[in-house]
Amino acid sequence: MKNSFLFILLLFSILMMLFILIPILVLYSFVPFFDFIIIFSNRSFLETINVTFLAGLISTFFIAILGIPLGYLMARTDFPGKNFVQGLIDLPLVVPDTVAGLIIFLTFYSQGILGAPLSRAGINFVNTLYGIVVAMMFVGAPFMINTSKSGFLSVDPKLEKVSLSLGASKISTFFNVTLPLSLDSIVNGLVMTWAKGVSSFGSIIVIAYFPMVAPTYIYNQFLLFGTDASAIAAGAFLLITLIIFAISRFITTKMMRWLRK
Amino acid sequence: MRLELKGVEKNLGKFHLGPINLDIDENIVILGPTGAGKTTLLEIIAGFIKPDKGRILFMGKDFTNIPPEKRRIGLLYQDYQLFPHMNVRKNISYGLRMSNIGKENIEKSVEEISIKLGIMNLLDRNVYNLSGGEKQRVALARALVIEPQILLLDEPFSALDEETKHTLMDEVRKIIDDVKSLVIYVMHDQEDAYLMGKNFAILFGGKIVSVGKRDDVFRRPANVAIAKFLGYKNIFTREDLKSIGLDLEGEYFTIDEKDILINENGKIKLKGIVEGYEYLRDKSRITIKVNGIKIEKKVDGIFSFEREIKISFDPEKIIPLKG
Repeated sequence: MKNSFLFILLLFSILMMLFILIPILVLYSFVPFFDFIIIFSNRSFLETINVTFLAGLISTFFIAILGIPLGYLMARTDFPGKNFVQGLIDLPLVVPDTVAGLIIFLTFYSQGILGAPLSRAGINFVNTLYGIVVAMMFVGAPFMINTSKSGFLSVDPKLEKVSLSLGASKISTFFNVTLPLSLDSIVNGLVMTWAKGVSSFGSIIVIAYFPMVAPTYIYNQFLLFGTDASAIAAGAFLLITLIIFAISRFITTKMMRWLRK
Repeated sequence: MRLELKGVEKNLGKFHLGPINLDIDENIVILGPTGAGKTTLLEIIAGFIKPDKGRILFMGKDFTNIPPEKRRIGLLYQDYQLFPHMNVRKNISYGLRMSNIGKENIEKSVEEISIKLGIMNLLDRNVYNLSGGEKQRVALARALVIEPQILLLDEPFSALDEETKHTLMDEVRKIIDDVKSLVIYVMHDQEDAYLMGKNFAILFGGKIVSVGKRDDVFRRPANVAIAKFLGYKNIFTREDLKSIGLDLEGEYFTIDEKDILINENGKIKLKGIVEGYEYLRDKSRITIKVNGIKIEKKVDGIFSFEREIKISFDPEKIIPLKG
């Protein structure tokens, strides 16, 4: 009984993994090995990777600063209209990428409600790194807010009460008790937010076709040179992302273990 | 030490706590069934919930608006709530680390309290694999090391098995007798509570219905519901008593099982039939049918079914109750 259950689990898991793996292998079958190596010395490709990951990091940083407090508030307080706020938080998840791009463009272009004052201050969003960052922030925000919220929810409020009773202030309680105990979820949220950012395409091209992020570059290669050229760039981007993912997971697992000690 | 609650009220949706008026100058047990408002009252005293009305005074000073972290109230929860990401030593020293008293003083205080509670050998363990009893002592050490003015114990024994519970009750009582804090127990089990405290306040339906010395409180339940909660098994109507030849003023009555004698030494002598049996841990409880009413009594011996039995009691032991 136990074994047959395990067998079914394993069978379905393997099918699931194959469903992800096969298309990736198909992609690499289109990539000639020599061209694949060459692309890592291609300046415009490397610049693209640089822009993508840098914008991903900056947007994740800002989302963390703004999103974690909101996640805490959503986990620990009740207020009228809370469901509406939750709906708003989830909205970027259901809005099509291109619509998100349009929203961002209309808000941040030089005549937009936020774009106009900021452009007077010298910050322009159209076809700049800033534009990429705000687009990534918009689509990545729900991941940070919701994962940190579920992390905070998993911390028993009584632990915070004990901390307060022992003389710790609310801020001190947050940093000494709540945050360390929900760090798993928060780190997960950071990784997910970053991943959503660097994989975004539709939301970014409307406001910033240039400087090109990797997804735009791959699309551009496809338009100009067809499947082979775009497959090479896609394969390289995928490999780098996979390596970064693996490293960040490795570091965070080590870090969590160290923190638990 | 003196804690006064003056007209404290809190509305929580359907539930209304208070008005609570309590003057606590000795260790006390706040006893009440589930849903009576014990946790709300405890959280008001600790400062986690602000009352809608009323004031809380500690040593004459208004405490009502003082935040929990400034109250110096030690808190022990039923499930201990040890910080899972800290080892025993860090758990105990947490409160001290929040006040700048220096590393050496912290170490000294942690050591002192750990010796007192017999947990020196646990200091470098992590909290996951401590036994229930060990966890409780660590939580108690963590609360006591800050020398709290008030120590709140929320259902301190509910999470323990019977054997551990009785050993720990003794231990905790000894430790508590020694501390300078004003100790407030919040409990729902009347048998456990009876063993822990000398002073009682009974909380029922959001209101304090009885306050006083243990025996006074347990011997004078105000109404039928409280009598049942305090473990009174025999609730009679006036008609019931008439059927055994007693006519008293009042609506309902009860009598402590202890005051029913299985002999003829009492003034009221009755004959009944053993009708039911309930096996308890160390004793059993029989139901005796007398002239159509049923009387329950805890007994040591063995009584066979349908056997005729002589019982008696003194009429002054009968307690009148409100409906």
